[in-house]
Parts: sequence; structure tokens; C-alpha cells
Amino acid sequence: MTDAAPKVLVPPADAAALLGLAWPSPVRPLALEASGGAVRVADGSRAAVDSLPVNLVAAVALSDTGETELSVLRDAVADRFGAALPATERIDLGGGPVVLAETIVRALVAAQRRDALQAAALTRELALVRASHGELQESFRALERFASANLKVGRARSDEFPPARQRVALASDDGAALVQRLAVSSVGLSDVAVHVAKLPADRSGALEIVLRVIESDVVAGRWSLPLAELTVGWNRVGLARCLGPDECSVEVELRWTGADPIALSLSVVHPDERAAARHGAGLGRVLALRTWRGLPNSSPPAAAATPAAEGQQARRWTVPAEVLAAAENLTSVPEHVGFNGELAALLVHPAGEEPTSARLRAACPTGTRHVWATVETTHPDAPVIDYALAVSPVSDRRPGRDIPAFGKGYVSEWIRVAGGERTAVHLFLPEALGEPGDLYLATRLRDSGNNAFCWAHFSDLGAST
Amino acid sequence: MRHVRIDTGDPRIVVVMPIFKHSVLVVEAIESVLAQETAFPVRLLLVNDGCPFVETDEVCRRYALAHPERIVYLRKANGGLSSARNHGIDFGLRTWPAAEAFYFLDADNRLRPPALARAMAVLDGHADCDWVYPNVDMFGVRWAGDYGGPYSLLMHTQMNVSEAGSLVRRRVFEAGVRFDTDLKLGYEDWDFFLTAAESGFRGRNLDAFGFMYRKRPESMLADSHRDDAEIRGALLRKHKKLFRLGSLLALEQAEAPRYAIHLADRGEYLLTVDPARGGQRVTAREFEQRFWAARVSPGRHHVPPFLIVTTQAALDGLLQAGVLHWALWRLEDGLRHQQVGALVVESGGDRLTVAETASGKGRHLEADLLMFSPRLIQDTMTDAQTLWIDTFGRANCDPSVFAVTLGLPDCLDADLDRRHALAFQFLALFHDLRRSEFRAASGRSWDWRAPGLNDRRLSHEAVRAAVGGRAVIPRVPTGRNIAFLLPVVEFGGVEKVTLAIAREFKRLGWSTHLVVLLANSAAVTPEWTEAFDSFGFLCDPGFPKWDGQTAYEGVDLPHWGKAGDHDRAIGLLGAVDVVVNCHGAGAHGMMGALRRQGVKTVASLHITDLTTWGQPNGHTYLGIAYEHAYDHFITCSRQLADWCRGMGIPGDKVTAVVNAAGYEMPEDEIDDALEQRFAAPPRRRLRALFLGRLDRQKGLHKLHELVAASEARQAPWSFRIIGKAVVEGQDLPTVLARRIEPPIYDPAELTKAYLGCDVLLLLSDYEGLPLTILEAMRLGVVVIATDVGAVSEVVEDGVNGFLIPRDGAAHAAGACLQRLEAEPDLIVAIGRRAAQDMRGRSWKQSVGPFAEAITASLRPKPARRT
Repeated sequence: MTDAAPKVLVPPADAAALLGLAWPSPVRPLALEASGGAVRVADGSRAAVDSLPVNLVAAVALSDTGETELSVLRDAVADRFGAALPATERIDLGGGPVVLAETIVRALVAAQRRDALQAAALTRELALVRASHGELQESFRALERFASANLKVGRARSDEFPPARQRVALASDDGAALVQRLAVSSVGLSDVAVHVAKLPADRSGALEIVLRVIESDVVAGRWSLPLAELTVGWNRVGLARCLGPDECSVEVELRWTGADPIALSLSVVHPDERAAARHGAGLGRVLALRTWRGLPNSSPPAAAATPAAEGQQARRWTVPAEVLAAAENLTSVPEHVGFNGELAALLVHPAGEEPTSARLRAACPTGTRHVWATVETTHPDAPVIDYALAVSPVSDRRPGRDIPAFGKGYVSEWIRVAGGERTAVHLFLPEALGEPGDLYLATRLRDSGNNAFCWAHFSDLGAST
Repeated sequence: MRHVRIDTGDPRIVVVMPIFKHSVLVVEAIESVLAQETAFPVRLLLVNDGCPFVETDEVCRRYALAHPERIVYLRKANGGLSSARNHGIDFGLRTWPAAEAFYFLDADNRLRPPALARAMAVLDGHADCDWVYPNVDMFGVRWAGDYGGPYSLLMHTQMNVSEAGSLVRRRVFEAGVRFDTDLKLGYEDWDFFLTAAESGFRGRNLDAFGFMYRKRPESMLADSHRDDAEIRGALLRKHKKLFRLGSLLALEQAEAPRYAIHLADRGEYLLTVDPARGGQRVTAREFEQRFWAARVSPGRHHVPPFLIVTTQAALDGLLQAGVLHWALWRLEDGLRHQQVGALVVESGGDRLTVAETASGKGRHLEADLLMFSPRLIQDTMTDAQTLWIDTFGRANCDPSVFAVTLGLPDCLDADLDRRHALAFQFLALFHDLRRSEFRAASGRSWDWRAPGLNDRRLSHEAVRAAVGGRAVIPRVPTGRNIAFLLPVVEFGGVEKVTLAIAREFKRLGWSTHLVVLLANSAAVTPEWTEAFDSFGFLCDPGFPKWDGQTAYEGVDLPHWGKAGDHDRAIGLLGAVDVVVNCHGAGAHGMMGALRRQGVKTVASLHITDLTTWGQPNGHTYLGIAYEHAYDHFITCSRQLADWCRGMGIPGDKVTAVVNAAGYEMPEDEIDDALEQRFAAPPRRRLRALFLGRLDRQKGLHKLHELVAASEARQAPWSFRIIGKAVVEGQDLPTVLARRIEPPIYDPAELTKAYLGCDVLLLLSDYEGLPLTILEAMRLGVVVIATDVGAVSEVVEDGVNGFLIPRDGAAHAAGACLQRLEAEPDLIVAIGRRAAQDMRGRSWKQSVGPFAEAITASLRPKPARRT
């Protein structure tokens, strides 16, 4: 333990006179001497000193001999410890014990002054850092706005272990979690998806997912996906904010709470146990997994229909390509709705004055107030086409191709787009969605007639609170 | 769950933080220690290494005062990083007797909060772990390095595996291990952990340690790289024992076996360096997994670089014949330029022979052992197609083949299992490996950290580094090993002396090895197989070359000694304790390098040759030229030992291992033979014998003169001449030629020859101390010999034999024969005295003092503490 009490150094020659005085608590005298290159305590023990006191506030001498001893000690301390002692104060006790007290007070005041100067310097430096931080924040805000307006900076797929036929069953009484270490680092990590091979028969339970940053032992995200929200295939979860630039390892932990087990897909066989999934013991295969990443520490729009981590809430969402690709055709003509991978857009081909509609299941997360889409009639020879958006709570969804009755304010106006032109459709909801909503995309012809070249596309769909 | 910080009580961990000129950044380091989430106390020792910045002192004092229960501030005069760390260690050991481990955090680095708890858990969970070292995650200049996988001391000899930011058990320091204060150019941590490893301590990597290293574009480590060669040299000198080939081979065997030997007759793989030392036997499936794991993460996983296909029977047979290690070395050496090595074993009749061909295609189909280059396996494993490698099943295959044909003499013949077509066995296992399901994981990165360690598949390069990258014989030494170098193995005196000395060393428990330098064929009889544990050939066509361009005090030096491929030869010899050069002229030149490997070098000297014009020359003079490269000189006679000292070889280096009879006879057999000889006076006419090589040195012209003169005057004695012309086609005078009998090698036959004569004639121009003289005298034969070399050391004129001058030797020898003919009792008297003088003269007696001296010199010296 460090002895933090203030010390005043006294020479052996003057120790008898000085140590006998009443010292103001907690200040203590300390008699040291230099002997044979070593520094020793000047008492009966003459024990060698390992370390100098950290709070040596003054050195005082009463006599010439004492001054000389302190001078010798000063050299020895410099040699032994590479440190300087406080300057020697010669005092005369003829003025009474108060002389010693005055000396100590002077030393403490000087120390206080030094500390004040240092504290002021640190405060000034902190202010500079704060100002710099403010500027940096402003710059980042401007950069973020510029990027979101001009660049498609979002969450990009970074890694994938494709599913194989092999699977692993997760049961509620497994004990150990299923753990998969990611091959990629944590930098910018935003989303992960696991591949469900088979859902349990009894339709109960939840898949609990934990995303853990290993080196710092921090849980970056935790999700509990009820069975109703799980589908056979990829199931994606996301963080509101991408992980920061501090490069660490990441692992995904999975547990199942249902009565019957759930089956997750495995990927390739791996010869290194460290890279393979562990479920108590090593599985010898990698868990089928996808990961996404974005700009570190940024909050790019989340993918719609992607559950947010517990305690986190995204404010903007985009409809990812795989959701567009899974759009339901609410018409009887299969080719009227189709995903165009090249354009990353959904074709909703109008047939006449009656709307042609497609549904994107749960594309609007809870809390949505604003929905938008880019609409484009990609052929210049197409007639004028009307585009519209509509939102309806998932619980109002009707079976088959039935379209629910939309509430007031949950359908946009029809937006006219000539052939070869593009624009945007916006829908501002009267209140935030209390549950996820299905998004309906509709087109129609203003005038019934030829619908040749009516290549009406929806893309860049998004939502925000 | 976060740990609770406990600040009271003796610490389990002491963090030592040396500080010099990091007065500001040190705050981050300190804070990262204060933020540690441990369930036990941790103390931080701030060691101000005489930093000239006042701010450093202020910051440290402030922290010590603010956290007196957790931080101790030490000041010392500047002494460098090692000195500061040692200061902290010593203080910590004294102050906290219960502290279990020390962690070293430099003042500009950081720890993540869980780091120390996590590292301590590794120590707690692994009693055999002495230090926990991190993966290195750099900030500043960003880079992350994976140092994972099992700790390998072999790899540690080549690279700095353990960062100083490691958690080290107290017992390491209590064993005296410290940072070397003489190392100020960097890598003091490398030296520290090598020292710890030499003391038997071992480390363990912690993947997610949470150590963060501040990397600057120009850092101390960068300086270390600049001074890399100098520092590596210093490490090599300091850890000489660790860097010896024998030590490296032992590490290779334990940590990173060089060969994956597919045993076709067992259907399994043997992973080993030295099959004689066993190894790990794994199934094909296990090998597949290792192979692909090493392919996916070469820094973490090892797989033997060389694939061998053979049978257990072949391994056993070659090992029993004492040629396995050499054969593996030769094939590995050949793979420097070729893709496949094929060993074919045949009968060599009465000789051990080796024949090599660099274009050995076809031979691979009849091979007893196939070795594949690492490159061939790695490259072909992921080729789009296998057409190229599939040609290996035919004689004219596409891969290049280096073939070695080994002829084993009957006495070494091994029973090899030849039922397996190894080339096809290889193709089958190759395709199995390619088809492996583990292959799916290859071709992509599985770790975000870059490999920090060398490719473990190249671990054998760590051993080769000591010999300039050349192949190292895969013999892991156990006990004491001594190698003898001979230019040829025929039946010369030098060979017989070598055989006798080797036999004595073997009796003393040493392993003995013979390397033939000049020839590719050796007359290996059962006597040799009993005396030697192994046999090998240098197989270097450049070895015999003399260029006459450099001479030392008038004696030409062989070209190979100056510019030969010494590294290759050291790869063959460097792992033994002692190398005895028995007149290998070129080999003198590599003795210095062998000595630097820690091998004791010995020159075995026998004879001073004469040039055509009579100038003294030869190995004795070459020995003087390379005196500095030898630890010992052994001479066949006391006279030669005196000569060596006289010529400037320090007396302490010279030991006379005086010759004894070339073959052994039990005392009772000698007694019987002598009784038979002296039972009655000779009744027949005097019988003279010449036994030896028929060459110029042996004074053939004098012998001819004597025989011719004796014939001319019909002298009453007979001659028997036994020997072989060393130079083929040498014309011998008819008078000799018609008497020549073939050489005798069998000891019983030799005894018979000696017992069948009364006189041994040796009229040599120059000699050492001929064995025939000693053998003949032992059996009571009267020796008439020219007074050359050290003959006078055993033959006392008129007492136990006759010494005659070299000039006029034929006449003098005739006179001696005349006298003996006239005085039969003299034959008995001199013969008895000769036998008496030889009594007790043995190789055991001769070799003993030398063996003791060399054994003493090999005893480890007391270790010097760092």
C-alpha cells in the first residue's frame, strides 16, 4: 500500500531535535541517510529504502551538518532513484516550533499552487478537446446528412456461410447454448441472420439470440424471436447502431425455449474446432449464418421486418431486396408482380383502371409514421401510370389475395408518372404503428387501354418513425 | 456478469509498468489497469525508469496518492526497459509473497477490462502453463495478429511469439529468470521467454486476451527489426544450447513432426521426425483433418510438410540396417531440386553402396520408400484437375523423381515388405485427401486477425535455419553421439583404427555413426556393423576436388574445405556431440562451422605422407592448418602427439590414442597361440610374411629387391605376400606378382596367417604406427621394419624385433633374416619379448583417457543467471 501521508525529510544530524517536536497531523518527519550508495532509514534498523515516499513535501535542516547530509542524500537519491528531493530549507528553532509549522505550510501552499496550475492546465486542455469534439460532431452530422442524401450507405452483406443439408436441433433443456464464432471482426457489424431448417411442431417457444463481443465481454445485442415471427429460411436480426471501430471478435449464442426442438441449418465441415459451431461439444460444422455491416458507430436504416435488439429502437428502415423478392402478388396474373434483381425493384404491372397490388409482409416495423418509395416507369413509351402506397396492421391481414380495408390516412394519394420518368411516393401515417404493418404497393392506368410497356417499378422503399 | 473489484489484501497479480517518456499516454495505461474487472486484488507498480520529464513523476505521484491501496510508485535511475521490469519484479516478489503472477504493461499500451481476470483463469485452469501470452491487437497503426495455436518453442527460436504483455507465474521469477539488461535494442521479451523456456517453463496463448499494443509508424519494435540480424545473433549466442541442432530436432519431434509417413501395410500415418523415436500414429481421417486445418489456418495448425509413403517393414528394416536416417536425409536433400524422392533397396553383396540418379523416373514404381516435396502436395491438392499428378502411376511420369538406390551388404540385409505398390498407394491417399469434406473450408479466411505466426507447415525450416536452409538428418539424439568421417572404407590402417576407436566408444554407451566422405561404396563387414549404429555417405561430387590455389605453410588445401557445401554436410553431422575427422581432407574446412554448432571436433591423425619428391605432407599438416577449428587431436602414437605439440598445437588439445592390434583376441586365445608357437623350436625354414596394401608407401621396391636377391642366392627362407594393389592396374614385378595372395579381412584368417610365419616384413617409406606390426608382435612374430613413423615406439631393435634404416632396407632386412636363420633361438627370444611387450596393449586402454576427456568437455557448465 502506498503511504500517502505528507512527509518532511530531516537529516540524521538534526533528527533528534526535529523528531521530538509535535508535528501537525498528518505530516510526518522522515529521517533518511545515504550510506554506501544506498538510501537507508536513519533509525536503529537502518533498513534500505525500496521506494521514495510519494508525498515528500519538504526537506529541512537545522545545522550545517544536517544540510551537508541532505546534500549527500540528494546525490544518492538521484543515483538510486533517478529522482530529485525537495529543496532544503534551513530553519532555526530559536523562533519556536512555529518555525517548523510555517515551513510545512509554505511547502504545502507551494504544492497546492503547483497542483492548481496543473489542474487549470488540464481543465484548459479538456475545454480544447471538448471544443474539438463539438466540431467533430457537427462535421459528422453534415457528413451523415450528405451521405444519406447522396450515397447508398446502408447495411451491406459481409459474410455468408450457406446452409447445408445438415442441421442441429436446439432444445430448451440443452443446457449449453449453441455458439458460433464469426470469421469477421466486430467493426461495423450491424445484422446477423440464422437459417432455420425446421420449425417445431407444437408452435411454441422463442429463439433467443445473443451477439457478444468477446475481447471486451460486452453483449452488443440480445433478441428473443417468438416462433410466430420465425420462418423456415433466413431469419435476420439487427442492431440499431453498427458496432464501432474497435476491432474485436464476435460470437453468436443461440438458445431455444420451446417444448419441441427447433432445427437450425449447419454449413460447411470445418477442420478447426475453433471455427466450427459449439453446442456443448464441437459440432465440426459451421452454423449457417449471414452477417451485414455498415459504417462503424453509425445508425444506417435498419432492414424492415428485422427485429431490433432489446432496448434498442431503429428510427429508419429500408425494405431489403429479399423482402421485395418475397412480395405477394395480389392479382390473378402471376407476371404482373415480379422482382427485378438487376434494378433491385419490384414490378407492379398495371392492367387497367383497377389497381394492381402487391403486399410486403410486415415491411413497416412498429413505430412507423412515414413510408416512402421511389417509383419509376422504366419504359419511355409507357402510358401515364398511377402509383400508391398503403399500410395495414399485420393483425388486419386477410387470407389469400383479399385486401383489407385501409384506415383513413393509411393510403397515399395516387402519384402520376409518365413513361420513362421517376419520382417518389410518400405516406405519412396519422399515428405511429402500434404493431408491424404490411405494406401494399399499387399501380393503375389513368385511362383504360393498352398497358404495353407499363413497367412500373417500386424501389428504395423505406420507413421511419 | 461483471467482476467486483477488490482493493484490499495481497494481490494475486502485480502489474509492472515501466515508464520512460510516456508522461501523458501512461494515463491510459494506468486507467486500463484500474478498470480491470477481477474478483481478486491487483496491484499496479509504476516504475519510473529515470524519466527526465517532470510530468511523468507528477502523473505517477498523483495516481499513487489517489489510489494508494492499488498503486505503488517506484523511482529508479534510468537503466532501460529490462532493468525497469526487473526492478518491479524484485520489488513485487519481496513485497507480496502471496502474489501469484506478474503482468507487464508498457506505458503506452492498454488492456481491456476483462483481460487480467481472463488471463488468470487460464493460469488457474492449466497448472502446466507458466505464462499466458496474447494475440496482439494494435492501435495507432492498426493491425491485429493471431498468435494462437499450441505454444511452440521451436517456432519461438525463429520469431518473437510472446509479447511482453503476458501474465507470468511467480515461479518463473523465483527460478531466477529475468529480463536481460544487456539487450537494449529490443526483443528483450523474446530473450526473456526463451530463457524461461530453457528453464522448462511453457506458455499458452489466450485468443481474446484483450491486450492492445500502440503501434507507431516508427516504434521501438521497428528499431528492433532494423537491428534484427544483430539481435538474432545475440540471442543465438546467448541461447547456444537451445539453438543446437540436437535441441531443435528434439523440439521438432515433440512439437512439429517433419514427416507424415503413410504406412501402407498398416493403413495409418506415423507423424514423426525420427521413426526410431516413435511418433504419433493417426488414422487417415485424423490426418485429413490435420492437413486441411493447417491449410485453413497455417499459423495455428501444423501438419508435417513431407509426405512419405512406405511400409512399417521397410522402416524397421532400414532402421535395423542403420541407414534409415541417412536415407531420409538424402531424399529430403534431393527434394531441393526434385519433386519426389524414391528409395530403392537392393542387395549390395559384400558392400554397402549408394547410387543416385537425378532423373529417376520409373524407379519410383519399384521404390521401397517415396518422399514427396511439400510444394508438390500443397500445389496439387487444389489444382483444378489431377491429370498431372495422376501420371505418377506410370514409369514416365510428369513429376520429377530423384532416385537413390541403396545396396545393403549381406550382413545388413533387411527384410522389406515389397507387396505394396507405393506409387499407387500414394495416388489413392492423395485423392482421398482431395475428396475430403474438410476441403470445403479452404479458400477463405476464417479469422479477422492476420496470421501473426509463421506457417507451421514450415516448422522444419526452423531447424534448417541453423544450416543455411539445408536438410537436417532426422535423427533426434539421445545419449551421447559420435560420428567418424572416413574418406573410404576399405581395409586400410586408418579405417581399422577408426573401427577400433568406434568400437570402444560404443562399449562406453555412445551411439556411433560412420559417414563415408569420398566413396559411394564401403566394405562393411560384420565387424563394422557391430561397431557402428548407423552408416551414411556424403554423396558430394565436389568433395574430392583440389585446386592447388591455396596452401598453408606449403601444404595445399583442398578446394571443398574452402568453398564446399558445408551447410549440407553440417545438416548431416551437426546433431551429434562429437565429430572425429579421420583423414577427410576437405572436411577440415567445415570443422569451424561444426564447432559453432556446439559439436566437439576431433582430428584423428595417423601418418605424415610424403609427396612424390619426398616432402612431408598430408593430414598431419592439414590438421595444423585448421588447428583452431578443432577441440581435440588424437594421434596413433606418442611420437605423433609430440610432433603435433611441436608444430604448435596446444598440448591440452592433444591426446595420444596409441594404436593397438587391429582386431581383438581374447587373452586365453593369445596364450594358446603363443604356446603353440613356442612349444618347440622351428623346424622348417624361416617363413617371412608381408601383409598390407601393395602401394608405394609400403616400400614395394625394397621388398622386391629383397625377394629377388633372396631368390638369386637361394636363401633358406620363404616369402608369403598377402595384400591388394590399391591402384588398379599397377604393375608389380613378376617376382612379387606371382607370390601375391588375396587380402585377408577375417580376424581368424589373419591369426592363422600370423601363426604361419616367423617374420613380418614391413619396409615402408613412411608409416604411422602400423597395426600389422602390433598384431604380429602380439602373436610372437619377429618384426623386421624400417625405422619410419612411430615404428620405433614399439619395435626395439634387437630386443623385440628389428629396426632397419629406410635406405638400404632390403639389404638390412636380408641380413636380419640371415641372422635369424642362423640363430633359431633368437626367433623365440625376440618373439617372446614382442608378445610380452604387446601384452595388455588394448584399444580400451588407448581410448579410455580420450573418451574421458571428451565426455568431461560435454558436461553442461553451470548456468549463468540472466
